[in-house]
Order: sequence, then structure tokens, then C-alpha cells
Amino acid sequence: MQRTFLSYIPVDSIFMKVSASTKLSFFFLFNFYPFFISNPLLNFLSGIIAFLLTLRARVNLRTISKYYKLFLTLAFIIFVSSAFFGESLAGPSREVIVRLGPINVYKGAMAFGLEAYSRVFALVCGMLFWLAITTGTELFAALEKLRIGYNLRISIVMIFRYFSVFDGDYHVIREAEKSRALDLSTIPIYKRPLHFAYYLVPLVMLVIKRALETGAAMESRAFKGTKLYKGMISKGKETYLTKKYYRLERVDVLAIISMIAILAVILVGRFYFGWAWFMNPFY
Amino acid sequence: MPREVVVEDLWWRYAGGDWILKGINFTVDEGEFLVVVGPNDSGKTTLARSLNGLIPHSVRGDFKGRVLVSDMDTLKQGIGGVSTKVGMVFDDPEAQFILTKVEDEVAFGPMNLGLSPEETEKRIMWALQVTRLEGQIFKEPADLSGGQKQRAAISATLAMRPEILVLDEPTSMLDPIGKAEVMSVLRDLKEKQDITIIVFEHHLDELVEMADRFMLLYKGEILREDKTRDFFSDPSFLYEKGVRVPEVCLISEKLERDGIFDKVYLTLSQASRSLSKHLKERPSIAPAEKEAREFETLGDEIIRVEGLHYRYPDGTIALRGIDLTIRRGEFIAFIGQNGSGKTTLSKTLNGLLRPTKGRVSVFGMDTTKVSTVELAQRVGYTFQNPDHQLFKGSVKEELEFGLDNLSRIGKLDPTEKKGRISEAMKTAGISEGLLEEHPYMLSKGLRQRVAIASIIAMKPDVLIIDEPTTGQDMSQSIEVMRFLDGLNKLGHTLIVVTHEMWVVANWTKRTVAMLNGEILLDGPTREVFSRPDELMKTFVQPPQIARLAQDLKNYGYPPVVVTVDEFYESTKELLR
Repeated sequence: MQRTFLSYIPVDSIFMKVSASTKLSFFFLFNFYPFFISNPLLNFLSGIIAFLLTLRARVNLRTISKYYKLFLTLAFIIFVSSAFFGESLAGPSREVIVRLGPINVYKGAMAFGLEAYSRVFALVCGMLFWLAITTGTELFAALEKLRIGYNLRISIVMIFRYFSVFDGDYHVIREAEKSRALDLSTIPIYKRPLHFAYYLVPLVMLVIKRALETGAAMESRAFKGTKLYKGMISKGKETYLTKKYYRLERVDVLAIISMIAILAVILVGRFYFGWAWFMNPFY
Repeated sequence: MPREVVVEDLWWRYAGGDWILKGINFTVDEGEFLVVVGPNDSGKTTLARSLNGLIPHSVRGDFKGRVLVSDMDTLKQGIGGVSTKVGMVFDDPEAQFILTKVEDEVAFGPMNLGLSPEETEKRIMWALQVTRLEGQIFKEPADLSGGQKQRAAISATLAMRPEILVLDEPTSMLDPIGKAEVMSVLRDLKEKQDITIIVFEHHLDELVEMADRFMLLYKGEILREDKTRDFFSDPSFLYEKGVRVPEVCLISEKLERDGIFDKVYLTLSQASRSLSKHLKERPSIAPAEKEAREFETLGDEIIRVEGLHYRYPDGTIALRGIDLTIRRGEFIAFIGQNGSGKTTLSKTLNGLLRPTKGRVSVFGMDTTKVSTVELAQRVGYTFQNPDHQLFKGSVKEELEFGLDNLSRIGKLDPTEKKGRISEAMKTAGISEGLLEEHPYMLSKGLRQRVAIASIIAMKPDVLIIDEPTTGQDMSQSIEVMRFLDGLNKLGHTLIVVTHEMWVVANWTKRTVAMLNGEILLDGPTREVFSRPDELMKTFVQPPQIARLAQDLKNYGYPPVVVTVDEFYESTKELLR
């Protein structure tokens, strides 16, 4: 199995054969798409496609199911709060679909809630798909080929690299809280935010410590690169990582061109032609 | 011999702080193996980081003096330049990984140097061969054991082909197997590679056989510096200064004082050979009955584990059919290599983990039917890293945290809080002056004690402590263990999860050795250590002094000697 940022995929998975740049273009497509599309149906479709691709990649879903639950639950809260309590989102028509006791459910607010939820749904599914099939080194190689600055490149890789470590710390902190007679799962949901600060103190301190230690290790290995290394990059020469991970096969070229084309169609269709089917039809 | 490292009148203080290094002067010759020892806060890590330029280039502070590495002045050269001469390995194997595959991780350094893909590949293969990690080349660092991770970190450093390798406490976070792996790599490097090695360490048993020279750093100054043999000529002095002197050296000193030895021996084999000349072959003398008597005075059964199995959500089977009984007043050690199930077992005892199969009952309560909060009042748990369990902005608030939670659920009268905190502080040796300090501003040892005190304040009957001595020097470790021993004498039942066999031997009364999720050995500590062949299956070795006694068992040593004092008493009796 090949470990990725968030999970594992079999070494014979189809997405192991895809180049680092193709994976990076998946990231751009799935994560920029929902920002330009307000039609919930298209966003849900995008999310479902991303999820189906996750299945196709044979990702170990057990390792990422909790992220689906977490983020989609948060998204559901956004939906409920805007759909049922968003009077300011009701729109000029203020058409009421249904009355639930003192609460008026407005068509405009419901449409907005659905749109917000669908965008998050698409983003979450797309992001988790990308994180589940990409390794840190592939991302580093892809960004190197795009001549993204060294500091930015390494920072991006480190954010994703330490996501699962951060997650592990969070779980230990939760256990430590329980050992001190604080179990948030037994506290009413509306009181829980009051206790979130207890996570923050140790999490932040651990992050700072790790950052200092990792920074020291990186500097000890000529982080930022020597003049020779920078010269190689500026001349477009291959480094060890780009030679290994940045092979562009015909299918990669086709995939990247297709995704760029899809994004271009979306942008042109949305902002130039104003195509209706990119808009939310539920208003 | 040409001088590889020259440190001249080095002074350093962090911005706004006191001087940490105070006029350090020393040299290291080409190809030499130097070990730097000293208690925590003596300046070891600061000195290590001065050798590769991290100090002063990455840290704000005041630097005086000069550090030359292969004639390169670290003050004038950037870290990138110094890294071509000095490679550095840190104590935390996890924090040294930037990329997500061993091969790529080892490539990171050479790539930054601008080497071609072909040259980088050659260096990767060479470095992995030196550390015997060729078989792990495609593995992810997260899937490696602690020892393998640290060896990968050494490979990643070696791939830059430094002339000098500096290792800052490379084994402090490793289990016994991991330590042995790293030591084996260092031995190979010394014997087969042309490299100068400087190790900053607490664990010296193997290093005394490898190192050319030792240096004692104490409160920022070099207190002693000598060839290995001469450095250990006065073990008591080193011990007083917080050095974890090998037990063989300590017993040799006692026997030298009595005129039995002519010098202090550094290794088990040397001491064994010398002692055997003074002794005659005879049957073992009777072992001490002290432990048997202590067992008779233990209280009633408080924890019962029956047929316990545990499987993690990712499918890992951590426990396979554990049966265990714990009585009131016991002081137990759980030992075994990483992944043996020690921590998983201890977490099932306070409900942090619920059995997949089987039953755990704590004071008659089935842990699957009781909340973790309820169990937390009876079984306290402290984690290995104190930073995971400090939640508040002051020591006072930290001590109050658990008590506030108990008050909120009606399990504690708020008027009792003050008294409990006062008692916990006294027991843990936390002074009033620390109450307003931020816990994260304290040393690791103090943070650990604050974490333990905050649990003690909740007055649990049982206290489980995961690795109480990790990252602590000798004096701090003894202080923590004496404090825990004091708690045990007050009636608390204690369980420590540890890799330190000298801690187990000197303080715990019962030892549970685990392997692959099962209990391999369970009994009085001395009895467990008297079965080295079985213990080896857990990749745990008895303390050095116990091994010496076992080596000399044909000369009458009892099989259950586990401390230096016991060995000394047995020797006097045998020589009578």
C-alpha cells in the first residue's frame, strides 16, 4: 500500500500511475469548481464524481470516513441555520414555503442553504479525494516543476504532511481531557464550544514545538537549497524528485488539458455568457 | 591528527535569557568519536546546535567565541554551507521527516545541494546500506518502527556526506530495540566509515565500548573531559552530576574501593572476567525473600481483566486474550517493545478504550457500562508527553482543572478544592512560587510533575503513568520515581509503562512483560528478570547488573539480583 496524505491506496491503483501534475490539476478542478457554480445539482454531481473516483482509486475509506462525517456535519449545520433561520436570505419575494410554528421557512433562504451545503459537499469530496491519492513528495515535485518558490512549496507540503499528525494529537488530547473527567460527548451540544479552548492550548503548543524541530531538521539539510540547486530549477533541469514523479505520459497530458478545458468552459460560461444552468434554479 | 572541530571560548545565551554556554573550549580530531554527557539543562542541545550553525543563525541570542568545523567558521558561513560539513540528527525521529517515503526523505538533502539525479540515487543507496535500511526504501516513515525511523534520519543526514555527524540524544524516544539499532549503526560508522562522530546522550551502556572520549557538560561549562577509560575512573562523581553511569562502572567502583578490583571496568564482560577470578564455582545463594513478603501484605483485588481483546478501528489487533488481576497497593511495570500492547492495555483500565471482546472490571464496575468520567475518579492516567495534557494558562488553573470538572458533575464539593490542590502540590513537590507560572514555561520534568499532580488532586485509587522518565536525566528520573514510590507507600496503586529496566528493577514490585498483544511474563520483578531467555522474546534486556549476576550464576550469585546494592551485598557474602 502507498501512504498518501490522509490514507492508503494500493500500489496497483490506477491513480498510482497518474503523474504528480495530473493529481495537482484534480486539486484545482475539484476545489475551484464549487466557487464558480451555484447550481446545487451540479455541485452535488461534482462531489459524487469525486467520491466515485475515490472508490475507483481503492482508497482505504476507513481512514477518511471520519473526515466525511465531520465536514458534512458542519455543512449540515450551515444548511439548517441558513434554511430555517436565515430570514435575511429570504430574498425580495419573501415567499414562504412552510411554517413550522413560529419559524417561517423562506424559499430564498432554503435555496441559499441548499447552495451553501452543495458547495461544501463538492469541496469536501474533492479535497478528500485529492488528499487520499496524493503523497507529499508528489506535491513537492509538481510544485517544483511549476517553479513555485521553495519556501511556499515546502510550506504547502508540510501543512498536508502534518495534518494526520495534528489529528493524532487531537485524539490524545481528547483522551487526556477524559482522564480529567471532561468528556465533551456527555455535555449538551450548545455548551461544547465553551470547552473548545482546552484543545487549542495544547494543540497550538505542540504545533509550535514540532514546527521548531522540523525547521531545525530542514535547515540542517540545506533547506532553501544551495545556489547549485536554484540554478538547476531556473534552467528547468530535472532534480531527483521531478525525474521520479513528474513523468508526463500521453494520458496525463490529455487529463490535464481536459481539466483546464473544463475550468475554462466554466469560467467563460459563468462570467461571459452567464449560462443559467450554472446558477441556482431554486431561487 | 588534524582537528575537525575547534570550539574556542564559546558563550551563548538565548534572547532575554541567562548564559547557557559559558566559555566552552574543546577540540575533536578527525575520525574521533566523542560523547557529551550531562544532566538536562546543562547546555547539551545548545552546544549541539552550535556545531552545525543553527546557533546563531536560526535562533536569536548573543554569541561569543568561535566554532570551526573543518576550518569553516560557523558564524561566517550560512547553515546551508555548514550542512555540507556537519550533519545533524535530532532526538525526535518523527519531527525530522519532511517527505513521505524513506527513499525521498534520504534524497531531500542531496537534492538541496544541487546534485544530479544520478548522483543523488548513488548517495541514497549508499546511505541506506550503511544503516541497513535497504529493505525499507519504499516504506513510509509512519510505517517504520522508532528505531527504523531514526536510522532513516541518520541515512538522510549521511546522504549529504558530512565529515562530522552530530547526534542529539538520538535514542531518547526509542524503545530498547530502537536504541540497539541506532547503537549498532553508530558502531558500524565508527568501524567502517571515515567520519567524526559527536553524540550527546544519556544512555551510555553501549557508548562506553565505542567512544574514544567523553566530555561532561554541567551548567554550561565543561567539568570533565578525558579518554573513556579515565573519564569513568570516578563513577560516583559522574553519578552525582546527573550522568547515567553504567551499572557495571558503579559496582566496579565499590569493588575497587574494597580492593577486589584493580580498576573500574566499563563493560559487563570485563567485570565478569575479573570477578570470576576471585570466586569459586558453587550453587546459588538463596535469593531475598523481601518481595514475597511484600506480596503477602497487598490488599484486595481492585481490577480484573478477563479474556480481553482489543482491535483498533483500522483493523490492528492490539490485545489478544489478556487475563490480569491487580490488587490494591501494587506497584507494577508494564514492559515490552513498542506495539506490544502495553499502552492499549493500560488505556482499557480507565475506560479510554473499551474491550472489543472480554471484560475489564474496575472496583467491581464493568468498564463498558460506566462512563470514562466515572472511571477517571478511580483510575488516573498520565500520558507520556506532558504537552498533551496541559490545558490552562497557569499551574494553579491546571491543578484545578480536573477538580472543576468533577464539581460540575456533582462529584466533588467545591469547598474541598483548595485542600486537595495543596495536598497534591506537597506530594508532587511543586512550590507555591510556581502557581502563577504558565505550564509551558516550565522544564519538561516539572511539566510532567504538574500533569501528575493534577491527576493526584482528583484522588484516584489507581495511577497509571506512561513513560514517567522519558527525556529526563538521571537525577530527574530518580526524583520522579521516588515521588511515585512515595505515592505507593501512601496507598496508591501504581502502574508504570516504561522501557527503562533500571527503573523497573529499583522501584516496581511486579512486572508484566508483553509481546504481540499477549502477556508473556507476569510476576515479582526479580522473578521476571531472572528469566532472561524468555524476556528476550519481548526484546527487553534485564538491567546490566542483573545480566552480570546471571553471567556469574555458576559462582553462586542468586538469579534475582537486579540492583547494584543487591549485587554488592551478594558479592560480599560470596567472598566471605
